[in-house]
Amino acid sequence: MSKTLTLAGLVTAALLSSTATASIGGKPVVLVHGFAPDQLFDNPDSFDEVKRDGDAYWADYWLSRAEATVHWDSSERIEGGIAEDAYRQVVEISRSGLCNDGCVFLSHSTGGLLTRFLLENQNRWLAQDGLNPINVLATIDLASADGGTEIADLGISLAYNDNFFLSGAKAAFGAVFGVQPTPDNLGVVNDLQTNEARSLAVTPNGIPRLRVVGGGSPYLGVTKGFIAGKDDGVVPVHSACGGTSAEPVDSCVSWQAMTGKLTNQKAPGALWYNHYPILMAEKSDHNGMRGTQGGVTATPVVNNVWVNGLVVDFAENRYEKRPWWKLWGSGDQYVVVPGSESKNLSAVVYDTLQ
Amino acid sequence: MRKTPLTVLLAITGVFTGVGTAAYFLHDTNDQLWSLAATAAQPSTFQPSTDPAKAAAQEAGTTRPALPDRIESAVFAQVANAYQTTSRHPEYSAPMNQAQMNGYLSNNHNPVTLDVGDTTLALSLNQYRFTEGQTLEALLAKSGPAITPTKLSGTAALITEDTGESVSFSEIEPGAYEGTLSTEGMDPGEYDLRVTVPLDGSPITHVARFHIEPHLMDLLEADRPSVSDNHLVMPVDVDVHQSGDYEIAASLSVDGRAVGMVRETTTLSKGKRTIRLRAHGTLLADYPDMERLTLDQFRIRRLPPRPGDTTEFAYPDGTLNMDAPTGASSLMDEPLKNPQVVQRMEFLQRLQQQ
Repeated sequence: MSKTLTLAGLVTAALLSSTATASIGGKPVVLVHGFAPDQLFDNPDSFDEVKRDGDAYWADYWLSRAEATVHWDSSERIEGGIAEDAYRQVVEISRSGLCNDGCVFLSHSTGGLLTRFLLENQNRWLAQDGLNPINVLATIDLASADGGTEIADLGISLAYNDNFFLSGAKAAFGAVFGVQPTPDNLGVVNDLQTNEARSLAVTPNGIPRLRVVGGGSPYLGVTKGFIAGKDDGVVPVHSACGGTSAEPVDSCVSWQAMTGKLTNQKAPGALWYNHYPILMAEKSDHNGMRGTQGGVTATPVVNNVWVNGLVVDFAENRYEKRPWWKLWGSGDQYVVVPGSESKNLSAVVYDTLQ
Repeated sequence: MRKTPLTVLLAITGVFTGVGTAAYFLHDTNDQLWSLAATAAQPSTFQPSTDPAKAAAQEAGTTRPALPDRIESAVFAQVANAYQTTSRHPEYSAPMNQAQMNGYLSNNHNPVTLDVGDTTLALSLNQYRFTEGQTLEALLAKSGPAITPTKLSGTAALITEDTGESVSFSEIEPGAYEGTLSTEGMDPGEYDLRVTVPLDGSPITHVARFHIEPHLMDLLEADRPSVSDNHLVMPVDVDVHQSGDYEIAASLSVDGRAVGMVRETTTLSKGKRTIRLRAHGTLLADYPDMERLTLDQFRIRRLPPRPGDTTEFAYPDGTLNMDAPTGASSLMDEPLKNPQVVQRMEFLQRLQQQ
């Protein structure tokens, strides 16, 4: 009982102590962080520790630009301790009135999966508790893992193996999750398996989900060979875009590469309902996307033919580049966000939405 | 060897060509910035509103986004336009193509792969979630040079336990092994199928996750559909074995053409019940001459009563065919009037104007 009260007090403090006044589109921002590797091998002793980890997760860029953060413990399961912790914070947000006029949820990585779970269940649970649902106008999902990652699939098998020939695979898993997997220490990694993630809280709803997708190569590239298609070192593009199947793809759309080059690409056959890729960045690493990695040119996901047959050609944002090996004819066409090359991807997102 | 004049001429030509080509590649002007104005191919069809957000508020689902003047705006104009299309439909009657419905409603198991040196093991199941009593069929495929025996052994155990049901695998063709397991009497829960594969005598364990689900309900038959309040109402009789909050979803086809996903969330107690799946007129207005309705790909979920509880699933076999009711031609394309949708549209259009 006292633990519950303490927890509730901390959650309230976390929400009310926020002094941020920034917003996206004039609406308050609620952050939902991603996976915290340290929590797998060093389970947090208290929710205060979970909160500190969560704040540190966003400290580089977004913490000062948001009004609230949903904190959760990576050593738990989504349909378990994570749901309990997150819902307590959802209750506080509902009671605080922060989102009465609408707010934006901004997630990263596993936070995208948790966001989907919360959005699906919050109406029913809050109604049971006599509270109003949080009025979410849209989500912005950075490198969302809500379609799972093959690295998590790998971890489940590695947990049952101690074979020298799997040392490369263990190195890849350890690079991402910071721990050698055992059946008992996988926590939310269980929920990130592609089959599991793709059946958790999957139902269409009316909240637009705006997707930001990276294709960088962190961890010296050791994880690349274990993930289907293009990825950002942790999350496959099929997941980050919102593809309805775990097929290997190279881009969110078939007409545009993640470099911005206008060319045919292998893209998801379909996207989840109301999921909209908005920005891609070929060089953006999974974690660097949160604000630590600069110099990643972003490309807007936009099609020239976009409304009722109206053709809008944003030619001023295109440039032509001739490959070194091409002696004649036209060069390749690229489309990029002007100035993005001098920012980190989070800054591009934020500045674009201001 | 003495050089001929022709050889000297070719050499000189080669040098000039090389220098010229190098200069061409190194010259900055090879990256040509295009500077053309945006063009509208069919301007006569486009009536930009002077205040799109306000227009959307007045008439959700019918406004067209204003012509954007920069590429970031174009992204959100595109999103707003796409959202405008889907938000005309209520969430319980969502237009979707077959690929999207497969993503939401199928019970497929994506194969999990494990690379061991130059050999790859791929383990796949006939489905991901099994109602207790169904038969699990597993296929393990080996590709690569490692030598494996003709028989393999496996265990299906709850993820929290070390021991479980034995599963034997036999080679059905070179490098392909098949095993089956009756789930009769197995407790509901989250299981791992762990298959031990001796690769050149060195044992490797490969794991596939699956779920055993309780027997939630039986699908009985469809009653005669009717038209009410611009909805096509399709009553489906079920026999409920476990009380709870349910979501029942299915794909809807009209005369063999998949048109969308219909779903209903309701509280059900044990016994024979009737669920009324509804398709909104906006989804069906294009099919005034419809004759045959088909409900397929049923997905039933007992939703988690409280945070921390788990979702339970059922994927009953069966296709329910119905004759279209006589009033079906009266169904109208009448966009949803929902203040929250209006607010979301306003938000997306505000992003476009940032």
